[in-house]
Amino acid sequence: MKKILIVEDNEMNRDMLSRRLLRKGYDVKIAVDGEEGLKQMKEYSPDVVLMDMGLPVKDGWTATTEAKADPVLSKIPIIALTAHALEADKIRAMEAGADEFDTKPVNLSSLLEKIESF
Amino acid sequence: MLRKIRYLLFLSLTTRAVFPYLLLIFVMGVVVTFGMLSYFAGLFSEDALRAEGIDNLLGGKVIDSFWWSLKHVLDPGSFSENYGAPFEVIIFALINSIFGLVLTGGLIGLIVNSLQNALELAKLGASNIVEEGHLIILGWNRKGPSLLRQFFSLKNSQRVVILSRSSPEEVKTSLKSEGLSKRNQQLLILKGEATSNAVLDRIGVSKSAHVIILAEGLGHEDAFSDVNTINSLMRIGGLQPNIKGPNISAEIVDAERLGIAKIASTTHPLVCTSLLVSKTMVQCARNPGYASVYKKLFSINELDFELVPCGKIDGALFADACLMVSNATVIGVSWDKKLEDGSLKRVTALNPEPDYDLAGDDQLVVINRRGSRVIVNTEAKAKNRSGLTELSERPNLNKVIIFSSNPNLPAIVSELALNSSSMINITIACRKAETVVDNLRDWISINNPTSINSLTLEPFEFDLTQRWSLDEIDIFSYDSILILADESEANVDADSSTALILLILEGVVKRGGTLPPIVVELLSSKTRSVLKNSTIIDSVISTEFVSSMLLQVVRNPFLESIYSELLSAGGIEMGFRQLDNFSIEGTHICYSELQSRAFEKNELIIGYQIGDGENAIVELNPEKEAFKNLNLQDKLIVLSQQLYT
Repeated sequence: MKKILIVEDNEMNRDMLSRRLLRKGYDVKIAVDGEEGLKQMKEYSPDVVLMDMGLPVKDGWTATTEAKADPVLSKIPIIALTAHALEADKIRAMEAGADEFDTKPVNLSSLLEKIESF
Repeated sequence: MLRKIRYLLFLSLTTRAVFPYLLLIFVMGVVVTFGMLSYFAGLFSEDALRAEGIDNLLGGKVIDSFWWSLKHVLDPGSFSENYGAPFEVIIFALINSIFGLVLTGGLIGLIVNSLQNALELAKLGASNIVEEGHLIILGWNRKGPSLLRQFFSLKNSQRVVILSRSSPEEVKTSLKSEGLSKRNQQLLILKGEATSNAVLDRIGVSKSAHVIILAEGLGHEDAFSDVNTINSLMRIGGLQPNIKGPNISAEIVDAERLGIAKIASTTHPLVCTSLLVSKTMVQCARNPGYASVYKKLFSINELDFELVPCGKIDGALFADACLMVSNATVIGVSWDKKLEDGSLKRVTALNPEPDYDLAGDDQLVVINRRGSRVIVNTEAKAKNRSGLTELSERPNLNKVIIFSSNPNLPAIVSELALNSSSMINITIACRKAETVVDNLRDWISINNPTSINSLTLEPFEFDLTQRWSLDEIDIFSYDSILILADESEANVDADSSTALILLILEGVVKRGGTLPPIVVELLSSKTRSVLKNSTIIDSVISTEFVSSMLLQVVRNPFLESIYSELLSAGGIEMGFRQLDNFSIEGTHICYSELQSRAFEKNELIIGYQIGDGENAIVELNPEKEAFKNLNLQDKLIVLSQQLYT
């Protein structure tokens, strides 16, 4: 069972995604901003991180850059979740060090494929 | 000494209710004793005994004297029975009778006065309400009459108790002015403070079925109205904490206080006036003609929101489930989320992704016709689902002018900024415009700092009582005009100000040009009928929307999760889509085909609009067969996906 960390500030998005992943048998943890996301990555050691980019306190790009600069956390794959319409965000996410990206609204089968590829 | 006696008298009269009666008995005793002195004036002499009213049956001593004197005090008419008695006796009888008249008058006055006081107190809410299952309205404002009108339209026999700081007469006058009978036998109108436990107890809050709290006060300057509402919420929660009390819904005027109100009331739905008005007005500005959709959606008589268990369709995809329900419209999914403290919270997701796989403990949220049973055909499936193609283009506003200022203004500006995908310029045309704009900038920098960079605010001094020329601005260059209900002037009706602004705008049109869509906030539906021929595209009758929502969520608290999804900033939004947006080929339009194509844009069809403007027909949750009669020029009403950030 893969351990997944969802870093997302929108409660509804968090609830929906975690509920769907739990039903698929994943072990899911939640963080609500970039700073908490980094903390959870250290404590929980997830197999994959689903990182929203527009986050409060510390945004997803900064959190991703910091995670990739950390020798321990850099090994954890990060899938950046960006708004469907904002192409520029995808490019920024990859530049920040994200291993993969997916769009919101989420297409679950496509996301699962990406999760399983790590 | 005299001053001291006067003070003691004052003290006793004001602090002891029984004192006036004791004083009356004491004076009566003195007068009767005085009358008994007539014994020494020959009361039982031979001459006196000839008179009809003088007897010495017990020996003509103290008791007979007492009886004779008392009779004159209590019954002044007995004076005439002394005819033939000695002159001195008649004088005593006369004095006794005169004092008797005064004392009897005083006694009657006291009794009448205390009865009147008791009745007045009863009217003002001092009497106990012996009711069960009643509806209580705490507080009173302009939404009250609309709330009652909608409640009475349900033909419910529930007793309604109104408790407010306003006098019962004021409440009755406001009911009469809105065409509601003030003599309705279902109504009990009381005066009192909804922030007092004793008063809440007296009106039977814990035995009532529903409590609706309206914000007291009439707006702008009454900054404490939400404080009283929050206070009442806490007190009701504390009355009988271990017993499931009534369903409660409360109106919160200021969005800034919503957070505190939610702490005070974790389980009861709250309706935030400024959020509701801002969301509806901005959506109407973005989608002209949209007010009629909201009106239908909030209508208490036309649509029912229901939860349908997903046990039988466990594992089905949301897109398929939408087509499985053949006689109602599926709009989302709902479930109970377990919180860390073990309590359950109702979560509702409107228009989730089409590939959302339903769990057995999920429930479908459907719009159903009243009294109809939802039919689920488990065989149905969505057709041609080829995944997400492209989201529909969203209407965008770049330049907006807002006339008048009221407490909803910050939320409206914020909502406009949140819904704009580019830089938005907003002109605020009102009295003391510069100050209003400065305050707005402060509000936004604190409450919505991310919007401040995508927004420019410009003040434009526009005072209906002084300077109201529009010559200095190019009104035709705006994408939308919003006119808010200005309640800041106690002597000027807000709707009258709105009507005047509309007349000024119509005057500008006569000089040449076409006005952009106008959205107005009205406080009375009667004004809408008066303005029927004006240039208004949409009117948001805020009193009706808010009262309707309060009534809906108090009767069915789960609706709060639906409305908060529909009305939260940046959340799910409704939109119009031209039918040809769905690449319909030929003339045969089939609902399942339309919906399958809508899923490719992550949209959910909830109804349609035929025609435009005032004569447009809006249908929410229509019969599926009715889609066959649509033309390519008609519009679909859809729930579109959340604008993700």
